[in-house]
Amino acid sequence: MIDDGKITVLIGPSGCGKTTTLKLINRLIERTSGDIQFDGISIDKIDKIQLRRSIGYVIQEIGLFPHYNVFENISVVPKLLGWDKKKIKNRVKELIELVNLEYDEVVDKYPLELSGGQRQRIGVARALAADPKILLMDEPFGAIDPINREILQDVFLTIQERLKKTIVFVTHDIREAIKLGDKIAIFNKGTLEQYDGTLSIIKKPKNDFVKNLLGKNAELNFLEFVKAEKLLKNNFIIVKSFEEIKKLKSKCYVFFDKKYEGFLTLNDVKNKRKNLRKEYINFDNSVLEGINIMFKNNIHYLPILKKGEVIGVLEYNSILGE
Amino acid sequence: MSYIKYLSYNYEKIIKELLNHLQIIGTALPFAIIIGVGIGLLISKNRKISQIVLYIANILMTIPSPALFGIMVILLAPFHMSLGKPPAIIALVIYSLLPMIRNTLVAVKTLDKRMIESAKGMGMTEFQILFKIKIPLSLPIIMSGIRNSVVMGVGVATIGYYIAAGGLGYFIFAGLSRGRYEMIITGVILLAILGIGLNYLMLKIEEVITPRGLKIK
Amino acid sequence: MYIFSYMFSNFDMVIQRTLEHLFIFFLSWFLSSAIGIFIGIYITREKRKKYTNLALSITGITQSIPSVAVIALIFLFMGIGKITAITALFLYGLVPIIFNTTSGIVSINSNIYEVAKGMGMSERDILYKIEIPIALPAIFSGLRNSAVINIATATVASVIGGGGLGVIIFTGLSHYNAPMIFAGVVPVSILAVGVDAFLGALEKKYVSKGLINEI
Repeated sequence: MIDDGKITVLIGPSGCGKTTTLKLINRLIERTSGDIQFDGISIDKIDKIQLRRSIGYVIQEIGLFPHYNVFENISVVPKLLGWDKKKIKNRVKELIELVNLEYDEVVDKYPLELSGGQRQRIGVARALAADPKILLMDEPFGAIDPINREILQDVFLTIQERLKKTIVFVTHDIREAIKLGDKIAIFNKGTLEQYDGTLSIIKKPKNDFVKNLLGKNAELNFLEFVKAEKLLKNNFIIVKSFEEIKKLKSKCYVFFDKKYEGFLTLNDVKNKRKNLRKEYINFDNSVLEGINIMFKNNIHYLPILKKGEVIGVLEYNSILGE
Repeated sequence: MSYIKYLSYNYEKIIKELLNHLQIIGTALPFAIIIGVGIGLLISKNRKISQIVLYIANILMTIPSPALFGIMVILLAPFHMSLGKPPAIIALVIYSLLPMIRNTLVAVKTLDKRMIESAKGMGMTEFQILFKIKIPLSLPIIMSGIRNSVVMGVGVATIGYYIAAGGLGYFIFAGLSRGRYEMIITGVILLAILGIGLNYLMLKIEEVITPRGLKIK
Repeated sequence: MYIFSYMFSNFDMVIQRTLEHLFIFFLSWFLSSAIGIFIGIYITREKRKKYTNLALSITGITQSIPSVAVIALIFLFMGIGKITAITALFLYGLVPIIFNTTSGIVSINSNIYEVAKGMGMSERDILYKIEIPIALPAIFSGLRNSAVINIATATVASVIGGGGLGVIIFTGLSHYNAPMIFAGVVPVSILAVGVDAFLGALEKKYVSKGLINEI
């Protein structure tokens, strides 16, 4: 089961079957048993060529066609689908801008004239050209240096936030898997070891293989990449003044009167603390930053703000669950 | 039956012309290598000049070999050298230059710049860099240029017959004009064996002189 | 001026031999090109992949046989005449074109195929939009090679009745007649250099700039 609009990462050592699995989806390799379905329809019932044209496909760096310039590379599938020229041109422009490149600067260039990072962005733009629902990506950032890889991953996540494609992403880098994956499928020697939400896997690795793959820093990696809003809890009460804190019902009291004013924890209230704590975290900052703030101030709660509104709190004890 | 008879009557002539043929190629080769590789190395530093030289060599290569022999005859006539082996050898040298120059250039230009840099950084002199780095690493490519020249030379040298240089061309051209099939067959077989054999031999040499580190691919 | 004497006094004949040369060259080269490219594409199709290397080694070896030997060999089977010459030229010219077309296609990175397929290109799309354009520099170098070899070999083919400028050159050589040699050498050289330059211009026009790897 691959979730719509989410990134599913396939990970495992080389030869584990992750790339093969990817290629089964666009039928570059045919299955010998089992079934793959889109919206309940077996892919065997869809014409192979049509199927592939409706799925974006990105592989490592070299996948750009060397004899085509950037424009021609991006417009391959739209041309195959018979779009008219104007529509193609608009689409190419839109895509180049989407991947944060200057249209006029790169459109006439050939792959050999681009940097590794630029090539990869064009690769992603090309896969998105015909607006496919599904995107298959096979170690797309594998050949790129660490710094640029981080940048590309961030660009990629921003794009995904907007487009909400269903993405199947192959990598052998666990950091990348944790950063990008909503769900992770872990493969070993042709078998699926574990398939679950990223956090669930980190919390409950099924066996030693998964544990070793995750490594010692899995939780930290996860917290570094996951946004605060994803782990928000609702066990807080909004109050306007101290008077409203009567019955000690909640562990966290957020003061909010048209705007965020601060908060107090249950302990603060018990200790009769008078001045409000002013700390908070933005919804799109990482949980790790939140933990940092909590450490510095020796608190177990931190309100999460989005556009001035309090949408929840980070709760130290529940960040990594029970 | 008659062909075996022909061979037994003429084997001395066959061996003589075969040696003649090899002699023409063999004499031309060292000159071609020294001049070709030398020019290649000399001009490799300058992009403009190397382009011009390649262009000229390309045109010389494009001229059909019989025509080049003709030109040699005309040019060497004033020196009374227009018949015999010298014009054949000179024509062959000129003909062999292009593959030599081109491959030398390609070899030197494709050398990894970082490697030269680190050689310099380690304190190698220009001279050491040339003999310890550039030449060993470009030898395989240069060698394939030499192979090209030799294989071409087998064919080109046949025209030597027309300017009294001898060689296997005799069996073909004299055979054709006299209508002697056994001569033609002899020529065809020897030329084919020579071409294929020398090509094979040179490939083997290429393999041997390629540094082991370059073979792993 | 002495050197031009033969050319000027036999101008019509030189022109006629040049046209003859051009005709023999063009006919045989055109056939080599069309059939050679076709064979190169045919043997590189997916289902025939296992024969591709065989074809490369056969054509590789054949290229090391001197053209003179091939001409003489074909003469042994077909006797004297223009058809013999054209056949020999056609066969000899076929080899570099098959070799280059094949190696050009074979050396295309397998990733390119994978992406092309993954994007939903049909085999036909892949052939016309990917394989031929990317192999084009190699194909062109085969065509140019073949043309230059053909024009030179056509000169030699005059000895088996092929006609052309070889007649003037070889007669000149055997009579040790410099002006006569010159009268053949000049047009045949111009022909070879001209055809090569023409094909070079075509190559420049049709090969994608993305493929030009400056040395």
